[in-house]
Amino acid sequence: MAAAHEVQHHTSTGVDNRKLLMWVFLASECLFFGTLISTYLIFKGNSLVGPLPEEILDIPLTSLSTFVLLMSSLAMVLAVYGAQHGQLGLMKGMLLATILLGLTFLGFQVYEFRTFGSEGLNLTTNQFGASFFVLTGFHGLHVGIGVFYLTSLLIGSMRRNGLGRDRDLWVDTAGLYWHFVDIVWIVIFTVIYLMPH
Amino acid sequence: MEHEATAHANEHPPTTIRQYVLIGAILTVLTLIELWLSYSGLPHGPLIAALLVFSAIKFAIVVALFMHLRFDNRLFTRMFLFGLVLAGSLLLALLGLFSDNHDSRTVEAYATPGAVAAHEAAAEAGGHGEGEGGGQSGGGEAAGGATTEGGDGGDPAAGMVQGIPVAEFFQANCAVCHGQNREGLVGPALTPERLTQPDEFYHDTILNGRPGTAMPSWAATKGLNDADANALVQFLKHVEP
Repeated sequence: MAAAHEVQHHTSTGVDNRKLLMWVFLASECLFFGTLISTYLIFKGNSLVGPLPEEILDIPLTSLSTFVLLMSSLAMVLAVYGAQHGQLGLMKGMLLATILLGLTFLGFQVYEFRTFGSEGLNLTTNQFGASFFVLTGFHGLHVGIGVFYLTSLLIGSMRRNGLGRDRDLWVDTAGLYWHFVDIVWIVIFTVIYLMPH
Repeated sequence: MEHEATAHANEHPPTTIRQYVLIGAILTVLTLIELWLSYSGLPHGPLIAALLVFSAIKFAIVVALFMHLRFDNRLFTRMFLFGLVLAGSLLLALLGLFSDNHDSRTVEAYATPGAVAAHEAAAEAGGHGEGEGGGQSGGGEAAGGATTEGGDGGDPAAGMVQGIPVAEFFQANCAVCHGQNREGLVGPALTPERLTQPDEFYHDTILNGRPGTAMPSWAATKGLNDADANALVQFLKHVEP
């Protein structure tokens, strides 16, 4: 165990490779969402038939779900704080809060998608539908993966040994992922919902 | 550089719980300001600029403080900025390449020279009044009589396109892409409840086509004139399939 612990401090970059891996992954995710956002903007205003964004987007409701995701980021950062300062109760409680807030956000999205579907907008209706569902759908998928990621940490933290020696690293790295999903939504909310159509 | 080499994996950001909660509150306030801006009725240019600035500030706060890049090893910052700058450049490049995709492209950019000539002839016929369009002049007159500009002067189901009843013209020319019951196939569905744009939009789409889609210019391919397009628009928007 002691040898394994030593290894993480002697990388050629001077940083832990697992954390570096997460940052490299997030850098690649910038490109992933960058292309989807570009596509949305290029298609914007090109739809031949309705429903069009100005007719169907529910801005007050989405503002609420945006607030929920923002609060989940706050809970996540407090979970990381708990992990780093040995406050395990805070860490577990805030991990649970982050998971629940993430699920609430997904609930809002399911409701939104179903409402749009019943109003006649789907992936093939028009260019708005195609680019909107692909962009927000992939974001929702990331939130879903994040929920599984955090749940696995929460379950791990309840074992006898908890998350072990690298506890703060595991929670910190998961936090990076979760905050990234939040900042992608910051951009999506502005570009899709708030910008004039 | 020395600092980087000795950076310890277990160094914690100096932020306190109180400060984290304060940051969360600031982010909420910034979001509320954005929301207020979007309802404020500002002109589009300044509004978009302001929204982008606020969004960028929120983005930077989360990355610098919640993801604590500000206190972390510079290597992470460089790695992330590399992806971010690349993504931003990609976005600008794509928008620069394709943002003229909207309405600025003309039939001439796509059609063959023969089709362009036909399009110009049709446009000329429209400019000199109905009845001068050659072979389809009789139809043009009939359609012009049946459907007026206001749209409420005639029965939209009784319009004529090139001398053919509008419903028959649709089945012979449009149904192959838009479906026999206008339910949509290759092209979108064309039922009254789906057609929410102003008349002029569909009028223009029929006569000039939609660049980047399979919708051709019917002025260029079939020599439709304004009155023909008008009859079709009234039919599509007011007659249930």
